[in-house]
Amino acid sequence: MNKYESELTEAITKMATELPPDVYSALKRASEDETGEVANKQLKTIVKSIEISYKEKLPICQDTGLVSAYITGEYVKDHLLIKEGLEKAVSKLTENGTLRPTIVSPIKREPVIGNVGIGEPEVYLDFEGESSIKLMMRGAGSENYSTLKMLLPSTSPHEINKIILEQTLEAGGRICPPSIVSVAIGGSPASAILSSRKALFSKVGERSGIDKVAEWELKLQRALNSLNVGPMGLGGIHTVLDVKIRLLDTHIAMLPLAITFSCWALRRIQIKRVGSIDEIMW
Amino acid sequence: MRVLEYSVDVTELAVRSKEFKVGDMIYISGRVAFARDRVHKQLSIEREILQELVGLPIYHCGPIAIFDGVKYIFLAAGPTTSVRMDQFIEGIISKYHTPAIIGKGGLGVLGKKALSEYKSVYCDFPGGASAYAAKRVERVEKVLFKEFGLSEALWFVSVREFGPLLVTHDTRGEDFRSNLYLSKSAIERVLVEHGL
Repeated sequence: MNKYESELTEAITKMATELPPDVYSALKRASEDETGEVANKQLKTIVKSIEISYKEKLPICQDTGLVSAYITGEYVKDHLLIKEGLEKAVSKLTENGTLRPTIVSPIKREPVIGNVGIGEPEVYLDFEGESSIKLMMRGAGSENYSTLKMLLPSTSPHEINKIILEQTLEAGGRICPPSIVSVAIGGSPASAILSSRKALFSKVGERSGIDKVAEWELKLQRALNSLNVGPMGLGGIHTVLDVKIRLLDTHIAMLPLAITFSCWALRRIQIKRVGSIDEIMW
Repeated sequence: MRVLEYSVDVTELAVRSKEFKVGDMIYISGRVAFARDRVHKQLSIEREILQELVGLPIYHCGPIAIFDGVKYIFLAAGPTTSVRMDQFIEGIISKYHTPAIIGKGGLGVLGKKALSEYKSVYCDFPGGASAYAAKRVERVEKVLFKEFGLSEALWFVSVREFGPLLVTHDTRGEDFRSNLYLSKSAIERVLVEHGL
């Protein structure tokens, strides 16, 4: 067993069974101040379920989704070992019930044993940035409403906001709100989607480093929370827990808009090198 | 809003469900079928009736199931998004007299029409409350269509006080979510109000 296999096994187990503290606190707060009676009951049940999962080491959601890894900095030189370790870890964890057998072939829909198949689990490399292996699990409920739109370059921010609100209304309760809405504007079709997904690694409540964008995130969050979609789409003041916006420079003739939704069960974790030791942290 | 809570045995569900109104909370005990995408598609094309499915509520769920050498155990069993099964609901309810469909997010136009026509109810189980749901499973009795994979199979499961199930579509055809959200035409106003 290479060392990454055991580290990744431990990290994925923690990711599948414990909610990150920032997500848990935001959800717990929402369950305390949700004014919708029905929504309140939903949130309280959800919080209880998270607590059972934590105590008994059970998966937070049966949709353990697609596992993806983002390797940066000095870990990049070990990417083949990490990929091998990741595949072995995912396969083993599928066998013991930490992950659900979820992957199938696209046309025949035949089960892919151990969740290791063509393009799965996903691995991305980035030579720049601090050294880490970041991991995320993405379920289909929210991913099915994630979208990419290639807008006209003349599209105004007002129109972009409108699209985001419309898409959130369209998704309703199907993305398991309160959700985290992550938006990337600009770049290319590929980089916009990836950037909106990677923005979900920043903590709930952590604002963009650009003041104007940070302000935009907050305004959009308030607007989304006035839609009355609410927890599980049953009405209420918590449609979203947070909004992330990323701006990427783009082509003169393009304006990609990527919207990635996360259900309340935002499952992510990372491995970071501290001195010469790899540590698992949120 | 008045919230009524009912504890119901599955065998009485077809009769009792007429009392339920949207917004009511129910807990059911007895035999329930767990199924999702592939089973729905398969049942809609199969001519023969699967006798043991007749009269059972169907829960839209692909559980995490492990085999302990003797029996299957569910570790996580939250609901999946029901609207994907929308086009198959009528075919199933009409053949199997399904008293209740349980899932998350509600059904689409076709499914809701079928519920109203055949006097079935739809209930929401809180999305992602997987461990909570698994704890209410007493026994996994049988599995069919294992060839679709354990997550896509048809499971017959004995549950105890399974819920909270929120009735979001009742036998009168009332829909909890209808006109619940702000309408698309109000988006412009919301944007202006929030300085967007």
